[in-house]
Amino acid sequence: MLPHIKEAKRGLAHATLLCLFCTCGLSQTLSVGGFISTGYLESSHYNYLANTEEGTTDFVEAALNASWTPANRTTLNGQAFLFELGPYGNYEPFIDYLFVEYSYSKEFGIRAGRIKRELGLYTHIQDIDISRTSIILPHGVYDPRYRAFSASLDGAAIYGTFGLPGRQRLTYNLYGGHVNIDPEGGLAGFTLTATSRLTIDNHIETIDSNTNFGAQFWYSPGIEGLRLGYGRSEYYDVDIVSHGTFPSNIPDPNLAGLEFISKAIDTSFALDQFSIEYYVGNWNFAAEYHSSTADITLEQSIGGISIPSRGRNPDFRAWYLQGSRRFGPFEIGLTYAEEPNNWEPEFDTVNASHQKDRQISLRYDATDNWTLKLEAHSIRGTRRLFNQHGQNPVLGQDSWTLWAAKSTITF
Amino acid sequence: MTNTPHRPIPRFALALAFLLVASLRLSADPILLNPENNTPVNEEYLRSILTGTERFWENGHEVLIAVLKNDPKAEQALNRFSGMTASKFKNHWQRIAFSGRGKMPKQFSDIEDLVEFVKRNPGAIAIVSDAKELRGVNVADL
Repeated sequence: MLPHIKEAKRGLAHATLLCLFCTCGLSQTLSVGGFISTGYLESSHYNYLANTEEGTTDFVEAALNASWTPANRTTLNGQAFLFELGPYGNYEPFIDYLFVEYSYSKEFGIRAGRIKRELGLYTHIQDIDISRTSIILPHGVYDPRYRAFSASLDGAAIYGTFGLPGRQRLTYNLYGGHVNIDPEGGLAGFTLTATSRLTIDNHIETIDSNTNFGAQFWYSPGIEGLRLGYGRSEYYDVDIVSHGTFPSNIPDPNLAGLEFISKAIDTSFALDQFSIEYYVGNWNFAAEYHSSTADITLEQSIGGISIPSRGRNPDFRAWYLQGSRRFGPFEIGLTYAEEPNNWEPEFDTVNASHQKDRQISLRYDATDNWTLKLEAHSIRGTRRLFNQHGQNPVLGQDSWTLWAAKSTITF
Repeated sequence: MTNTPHRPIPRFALALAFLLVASLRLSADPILLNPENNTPVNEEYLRSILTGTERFWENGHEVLIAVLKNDPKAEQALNRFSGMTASKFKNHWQRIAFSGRGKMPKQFSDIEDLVEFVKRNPGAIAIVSDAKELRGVNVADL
């Protein structure tokens, strides 16, 4: 990350923390909260999310939030957040959200500032471990490495809920703004993964985005505990320029030492997500289907000479089914997630074209403020494995296992 | 034409009806509101409040929910009005509060502290199992 951006982000985070504490004496309608979540990840093969093959505790999230109501129907909400997930986060605090909100009525409200971006059940609460049974959300649909450009945006949103006949309800949230892409974040990691198995010294020269617009609708048909959702989010003018160098030991000696440049300019992405959630008594069920399409114009060159682009416009699909049940302080959950074979295999590595995950999660609420979780994943395929740091150079093993544990304290 | 003799309603039927009405009355769950808050609350409105859909009262004050811990009857009433178990209710509000869309309901172990909270905050609302002895708050039975 560029030093001045880093500095500005840190300054903003500190200023928000200061504001949050300063508002403590202003009103009885001030609410302060937060959480600290620490975890452990280990895998039988590969390094997924972090250096999991050896086991890692680089799996931490912490937040401090405040909500203050200075006037009728008006609230100021902010949350400072930090996380550590392998090479991502690095415990650097930043502003997750900071916005002013005016709620004119149940049917219409407006938020402006840094707001949470809503898509499906979990995008806006992807960092909140206690909001779910599982530790890791279904990959393909939710990827924690992409949080830099998926969790929040700087802009505005309008939202509300309309009552319909027979206890039906329709909730909407329309938003637009600017998204910050972290040059050391997940999108950069995904981009560099594509070239990292051919070239060395790979790095991102430019990664930037312009605007993001989106909408999320929830329809409650009047059946207790049931809601159906559709969300769409579009990103425009995303520019990604990456560099790499062909190593000296490459089979084609003519390429050795030459620079490889890949430019994706004015790329746009469109994400669609269909959701269903149903709870009855101690049971909870959810399913989501996610698809995304990208409109990419790719310019590539080797040693300054342009090469024909493969011209592919990737189309991703992923879905999952989830069920959980509560037994007193315990909760047990089962998830099946799949990112099917919808991408041409990279470098003839067939298992990199898909990923299927069977997951079992156990949650134990030890006290009102302390939650413990354990989780096991049985995975086939390697679609979600990155290699921007050379962490997964060879994808020879199709089946692998991931274990996770997490402890979260809320206050 | 025959005269139908007048048959008095048996005493046990009257007693049964009385018990039924009394039990219905006893099963009503008291809702506590701040004395300044005269908003009429029905079950549908209460559900909107407890699910976070309705975040401000008609007078503009922010809704602040107070919950009594370790009281099975109050928990049952919360379940009845919100349509959620206690753990689901908590989870639902954690999702709201940690994304900046509302304030987490306040939890109280002591009913006197809860009543004090309702008295102090114009937008406060609480569900309790018994409000007979409570003074200084508006009580609505649903």
